[in-house]
Amino acid sequence: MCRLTPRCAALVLAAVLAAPGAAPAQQTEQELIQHLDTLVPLLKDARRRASAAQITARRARDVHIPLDTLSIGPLTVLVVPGEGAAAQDVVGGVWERDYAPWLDASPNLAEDRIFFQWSADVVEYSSSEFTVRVVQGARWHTRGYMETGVRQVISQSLREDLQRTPFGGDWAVSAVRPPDDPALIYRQAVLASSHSARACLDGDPAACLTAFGLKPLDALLADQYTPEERLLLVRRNGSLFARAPVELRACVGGDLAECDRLLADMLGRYQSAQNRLWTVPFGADVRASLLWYALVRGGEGAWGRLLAHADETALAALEAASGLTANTLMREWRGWLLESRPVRHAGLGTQVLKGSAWILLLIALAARSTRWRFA
Amino acid sequence: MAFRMRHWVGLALAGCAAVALRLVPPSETPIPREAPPQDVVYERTLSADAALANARLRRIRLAARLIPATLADGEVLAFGVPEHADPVEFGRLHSDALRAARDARAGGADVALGVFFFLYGEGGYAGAPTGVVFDAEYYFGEQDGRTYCVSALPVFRPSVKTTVRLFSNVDPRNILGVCQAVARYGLPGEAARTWLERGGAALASAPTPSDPTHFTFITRLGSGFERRGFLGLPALRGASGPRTLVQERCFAGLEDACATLFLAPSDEGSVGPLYRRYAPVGFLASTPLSAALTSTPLEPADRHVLADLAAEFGEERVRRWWAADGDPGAAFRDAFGVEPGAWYAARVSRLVRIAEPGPGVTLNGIVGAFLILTLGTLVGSAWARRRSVA
Repeated sequence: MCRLTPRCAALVLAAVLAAPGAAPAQQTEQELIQHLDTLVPLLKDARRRASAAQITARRARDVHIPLDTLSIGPLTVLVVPGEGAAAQDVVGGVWERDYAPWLDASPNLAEDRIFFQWSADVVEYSSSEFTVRVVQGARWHTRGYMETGVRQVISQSLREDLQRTPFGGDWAVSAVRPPDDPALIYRQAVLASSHSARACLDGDPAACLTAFGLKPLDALLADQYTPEERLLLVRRNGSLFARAPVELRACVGGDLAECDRLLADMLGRYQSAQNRLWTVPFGADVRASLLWYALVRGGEGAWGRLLAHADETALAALEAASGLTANTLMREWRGWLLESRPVRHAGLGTQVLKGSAWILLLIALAARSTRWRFA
Repeated sequence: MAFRMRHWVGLALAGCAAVALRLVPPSETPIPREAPPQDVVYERTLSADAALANARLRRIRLAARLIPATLADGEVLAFGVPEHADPVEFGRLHSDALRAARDARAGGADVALGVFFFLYGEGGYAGAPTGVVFDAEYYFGEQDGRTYCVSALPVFRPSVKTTVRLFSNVDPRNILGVCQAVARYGLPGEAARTWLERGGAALASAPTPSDPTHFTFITRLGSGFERRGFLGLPALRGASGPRTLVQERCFAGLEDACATLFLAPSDEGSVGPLYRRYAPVGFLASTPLSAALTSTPLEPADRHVLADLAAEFGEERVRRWWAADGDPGAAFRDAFGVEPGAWYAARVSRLVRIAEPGPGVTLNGIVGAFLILTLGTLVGSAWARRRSVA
């Protein structure tokens, strides 16, 4: 039970107001308006106080441990005393190699803190005063693992820079960091089931713009996919059409007109490009590779230029960041992609090695005399 | 030291004992959850109350606008959309709705029909939460000696800069919903009205019977109604989320549960509190709202239930049930000569694979047990061979 305080009295008042029996069976419009006239000012005040109470509760959960602070470019890195050198080495290395050439200023990166820990005893750290991006690894984790973590947290801050801008919403990418495996991007691009994607890889820059969804929305789907490819698109995203099982069954049964009706109905519900991104032939990782290429190609100040144009179309922002025209950017990105083409088939070499190692191990075990053998 | 059989058995028993010590009896202590601050509880309570009052206010205002507009219209159908609606969609939906209204009125009662799209939150109190919005709301009754039925469909406008897209969650072919039944059979009597209020509106919302050989006779939840999972263990979730106890029992072929699912789909006892909060019952007595479209577990086939009854028993019997007074179940029995639970259970059995009620072993359980027995036999044989060699 709460003690007799003003807050407690307010809670009791609210409970009385909100009790199920409080609303008579047939309230008139006027009675409801009077009821809301009382409630809404109370609600506004209650929202303010609830927000303050939540902040206080979060602060109470803060972890207080002694930490050292490092500044690496615009990054603020928090470390447990004694781990400064490792943090300087790993975070500084990633910063200098991947981000410093083009990242001038980022509002979120400047405000966020990176909590870096690479040791045997991992501790938890959180703060309500700023966003803490955690990069943690046990001592036995590799340097590459820690570097990937650093890229991920920097990417998270950069993506927040783009949030609430048309660029970040309408043309969302999976990350702002160098592709972990360019060969994977190549495979995703060549496997896109769209004739515009294939034309792009054959060297048509205009088709690249279509496959990236960088053209105006009107009739974009018809440019990106043939009717048969649209059937495939619906089939692959069948769960999205669960509310129209009859039409879905007809579409996957081969009724191409029904597929178009389904897609038009689905896309017609959403006017923002953000809700149409699942139809873009080049997925989020391929789009991220184009953004990354544009930033690296743009060099110094590229991120600032991108943010300055993020309220325009995605294509304008990419052109501004890279300093290239759309066609040149597409041509150069295609060149980079083709260079990333893997020389082996689907990592066959590694798989053969692993398979051979297992076979040898099992032969060795089988050849060994053991009392566990059946015969 | 070589391990002998008794050592292995001892080890296995010790392992079982360790697991039992850890897990038996199951802990009844709930997972500790931090209670929200008192101010947050206060804000949530106020917000819920304001949302409820606002939802009631919006329905009163909506009815006050739409019912007179429907009665004043001398055409086949009164049709209204919000300002800035997409003109192409307006034309298409208007002609669909007109066709549906003509079909429904052919040979039916003289009913003023209306279909209106309205914006989410329209008519609400500024600053108050919007409150629950249903996929479709139906207002029917009598005023000035005329029967009316209005179908109100909420639509969303993403931005003030864009046109209003007339996409609601209702199939454009069933845009009249319950109103097509009102136009065909007149105002419902006490039994049918109670049925509609308890969620039967969803079951009366399509004008055409389902086609057993075609796709309308399918369920949105898929066919995963097997009650038990691997090794015969209880399957806690269905193909699309947890099922209620009443659904489980009906899908197992128990007629009393099927009667509940059929006669009161939206307020059946085992529905979770979240669903109960969004049930239309809270608005039916306190606002002019007559019925609302809610979800049922066997959509879209469920939407055709009333039309299927008419196809199976004839329009006249449906008309008798529709006009009857008293309890919906008893009225159903009188009109159709069959128990509602039995009729619906037979229908469900054609939709889903019925599981055996009560404890039982599934195919998965039998296969799993067979695999374990095979494994045990192999281990036993290996052990015996080793002993003979030694």
